[in-house]
Amino acid sequence: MHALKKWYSRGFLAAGILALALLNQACEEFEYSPYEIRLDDDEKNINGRNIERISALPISPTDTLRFILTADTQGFYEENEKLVAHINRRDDIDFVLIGGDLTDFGLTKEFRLVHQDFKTLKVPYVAVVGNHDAINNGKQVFSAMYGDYDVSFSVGNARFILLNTNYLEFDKQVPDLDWLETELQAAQEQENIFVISHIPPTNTEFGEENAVRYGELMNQYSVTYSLHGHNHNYKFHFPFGEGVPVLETAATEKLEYIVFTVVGDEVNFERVKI
Amino acid sequence: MNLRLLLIILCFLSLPLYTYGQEDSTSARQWYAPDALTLQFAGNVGMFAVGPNYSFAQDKVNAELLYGFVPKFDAEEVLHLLTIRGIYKPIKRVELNEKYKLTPLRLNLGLSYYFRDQFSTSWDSSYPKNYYWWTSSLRVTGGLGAELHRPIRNSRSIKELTLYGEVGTYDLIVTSAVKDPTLTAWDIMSFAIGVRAGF
Repeated sequence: MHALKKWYSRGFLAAGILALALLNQACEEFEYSPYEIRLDDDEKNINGRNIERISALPISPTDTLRFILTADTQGFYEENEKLVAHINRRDDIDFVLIGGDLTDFGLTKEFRLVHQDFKTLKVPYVAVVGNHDAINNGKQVFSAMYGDYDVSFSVGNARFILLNTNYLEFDKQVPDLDWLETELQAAQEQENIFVISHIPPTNTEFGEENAVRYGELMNQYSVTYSLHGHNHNYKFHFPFGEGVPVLETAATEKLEYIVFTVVGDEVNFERVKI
Repeated sequence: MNLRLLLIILCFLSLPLYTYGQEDSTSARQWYAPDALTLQFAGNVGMFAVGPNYSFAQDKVNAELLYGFVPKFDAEEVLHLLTIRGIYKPIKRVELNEKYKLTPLRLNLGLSYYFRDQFSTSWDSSYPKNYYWWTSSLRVTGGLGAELHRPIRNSRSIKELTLYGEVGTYDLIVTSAVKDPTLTAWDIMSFAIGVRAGF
């Protein structure tokens, strides 16, 4: 009986130590809330770090610049993986833009699952905030993981302006068109200007009072392309006159993406279907 | 406003506990006096969650009201939430030895309410109809696990200590897994452990 007791207590001790080791190992497997924001270092300031990488690319204003636009990765993990693998098989791409709606519910877990795919890209990626990324406490998650909602950067002879156009989710306080105008003014020495946002200006969720001024700004500052996601389908049109093309890319679910090639002031795009 | 509401609810939560100490455990309890106090780590009801546990049908069914919190970590704010949940134990306790008993299966289903302005219970009327289908201040959690009981014989206040473990998940991520077949059970599950002190 005594020996049995000893065996028991040793067994419990061993199980305890094993449990503690497992606990330590699998700390992320203890979730505190769907809304918790607990990040690894590589999940913080993703846009900031990737914009630094893009700015450091050895691309002169006369070199060819090639980037990819995709959007609405929300919950399409199977397709995201295929898309990333497909992009990784090419070696002509400089960076990838995600046009918002990385997630369905703005949860850290979803952002993490999307980042786990896109961080395996051989090139840097930059994301703009989508309406689904800004619900629940997604605004806080996006800020912690990606950084500012409105951000811009230059590479080669092009300026990229990322604009938060989630009008309803930001209490009708966005898009910040004054900020956009300042950015467009500052970008005038660049040959090409790309404005990237999630909700296209032709959707009512953009705020009808914003759409007119947005179109005027596009024309006034000769924006090269207005680029968007949100509607999950490819669309190419000229709602603000023939000077400014507006392009919406399909969701990753459709297994397609857009490749833009910039040479001087010549910009071409190609729809790639996997 | 929300914080005050939270404090009021917390006061109500702790009310039943005041009835102990003064009373002899053999006397009839007030109907609102809980049968146990639960403390849980993780499990999508807070980093730590604590609250009264009520036992029904020879402990086959439990009801709990837990207050949980999540520290800031990388967020701007601490999260406070209240969870009401039911626990069902379909299989009777098994005696392991004179000290330990095991409840091989416990199932739980909970509803959490989040106290912050960023979580709303209804969507603004300016959103198009059915633009978002869920309610952000309410989350449904569920899980299954097992319990290990140890009766405490020489204590006047605590009759039994229970250690439990669970694997669980929550509504929104379940819909993601339904939508995407590559999301595995491992991707959507997480663990929780807790203790329950029975009076």
